[in-house]
Amino acid sequence: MATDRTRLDTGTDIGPVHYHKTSSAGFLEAAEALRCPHLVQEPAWSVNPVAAGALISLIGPEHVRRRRTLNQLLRADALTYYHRDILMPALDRILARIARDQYTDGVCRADLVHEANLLMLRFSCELLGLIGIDTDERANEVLGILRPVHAAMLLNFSATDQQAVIADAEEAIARFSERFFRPSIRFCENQLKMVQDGKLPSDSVPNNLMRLVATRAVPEYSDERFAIAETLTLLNASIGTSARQLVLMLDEFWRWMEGHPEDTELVGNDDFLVGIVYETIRLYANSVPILRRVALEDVTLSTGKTIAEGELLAILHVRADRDSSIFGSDADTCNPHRQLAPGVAPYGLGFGGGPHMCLGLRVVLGNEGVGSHLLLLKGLLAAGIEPDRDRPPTRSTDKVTDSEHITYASYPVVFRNLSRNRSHDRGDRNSTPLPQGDHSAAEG
Amino acid sequence: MSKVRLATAADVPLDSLHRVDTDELAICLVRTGDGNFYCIQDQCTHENASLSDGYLTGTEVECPLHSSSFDVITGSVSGLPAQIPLRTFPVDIEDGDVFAEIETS
Repeated sequence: MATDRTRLDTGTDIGPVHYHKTSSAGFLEAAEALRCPHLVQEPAWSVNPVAAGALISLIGPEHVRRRRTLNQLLRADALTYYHRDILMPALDRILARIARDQYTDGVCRADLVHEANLLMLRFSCELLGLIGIDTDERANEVLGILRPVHAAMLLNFSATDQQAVIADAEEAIARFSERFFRPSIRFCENQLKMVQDGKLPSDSVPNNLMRLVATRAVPEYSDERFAIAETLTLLNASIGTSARQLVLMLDEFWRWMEGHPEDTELVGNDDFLVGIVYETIRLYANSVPILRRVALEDVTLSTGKTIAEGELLAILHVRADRDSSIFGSDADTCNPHRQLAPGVAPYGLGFGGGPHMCLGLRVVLGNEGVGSHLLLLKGLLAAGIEPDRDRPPTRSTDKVTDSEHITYASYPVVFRNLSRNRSHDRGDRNSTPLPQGDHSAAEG
Repeated sequence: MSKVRLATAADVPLDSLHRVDTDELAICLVRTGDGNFYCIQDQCTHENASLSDGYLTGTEVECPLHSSSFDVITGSVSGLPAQIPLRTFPVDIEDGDVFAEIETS
């Protein structure tokens, strides 16, 4: 049993951590544990070189204050702006490029994994206010920076050479700072100065993370390390998880349609597609296999499970989301028509739970259920996306500790409705029109 | 049902949220920009967070934790991830004081 007294950067001393693990895999128990105020984010995040000072590393009132500040980026009108003016145009550009670069046989082919990463990267960078990600070369550079960052984020779950991982991450952070973060902050500061001088209208500077940093919306952002940590953890989460989920959603959609040809008429139905979105999130959750919490005091959950003060609880949220007592005997499979008891979220614990529930939930699901992934599914299906029957997908060989954790390394697809000279119908015309809001409202 | 004095009306600024702990439960006194008072349960129906720490826009209150939003007049959910509406309580102004009729469930 290792013991490590850790004082968080926030100044909150959570006492000795024994790392005497106990685990929780039942849905109700896991959900209760995540919401328990006496079980808090483990202190390892506060010393992780990528996460220290970022939202994920905070607990208690300081976490609520930071979250409240960041929430302004996720209000309903801001979401409308992100989805309509950033996400869908980004998809259009990618589809236009795929159509333009079609192979000589006239079939539009692409690797869904690569395109999903590029798409979510561009979306996330604009959402955060990072500039200069306008070429494939620059986008690939950011993706290259994020690889060691992601590895460092998984340190708590990994037995690899930690010092080497940290060294790689610190090098990536320095490169990110010089190449992307500082130029983006300088750009935002210049924009704000021009507004101040009356050279730009007051609503011309988007309300994004760079603006929050430039205006020191929280005092900690005056420390560049913390501001970069916030940016990188949000960027890493929004790209990796969102891109992976998009690929898995289409995979599950095709699997379902193959087994249920009677649902063909539901292809354009929002409720059906939202069912696919929910079920995929439930089944595959985010990119970390377990969620870990440390007990501030002795805790006894409703099931009778006890967690002693200082003990680490490993919450197996992916397994919890396959709890057949909650999700039925077919809990291990996707069923977009699944009916659940009132009070059970259809995405289960796919966004986590408790104070650290995923900040991106409202981006993915929208304010009222029309979120990024429904829109992307519809857009891609309208473009005629299908699996490339000549080239099967391949799974990632990255080692993770949970057997249900599936990530595709490559997923070849074809697009049947794209042509070189014709823009495609994005598929959002016949149902769920996006609200026509004032773009400037997203300035907050 | 019990009638609880919450505040002196003149002391409550426009566009503000205030937590009041009663014997029965914690409630949130809301004063909107038009000067009206409303009373809602203070705990978000989604998870354990105090709505009086949240953000008020017009008649919509946003939870400080996960951004769940509610209409303070009806208690209805106006933004995910909450799914369950808030309890609301009738408010009276008498002799410059704000009262709420609190019914425990």
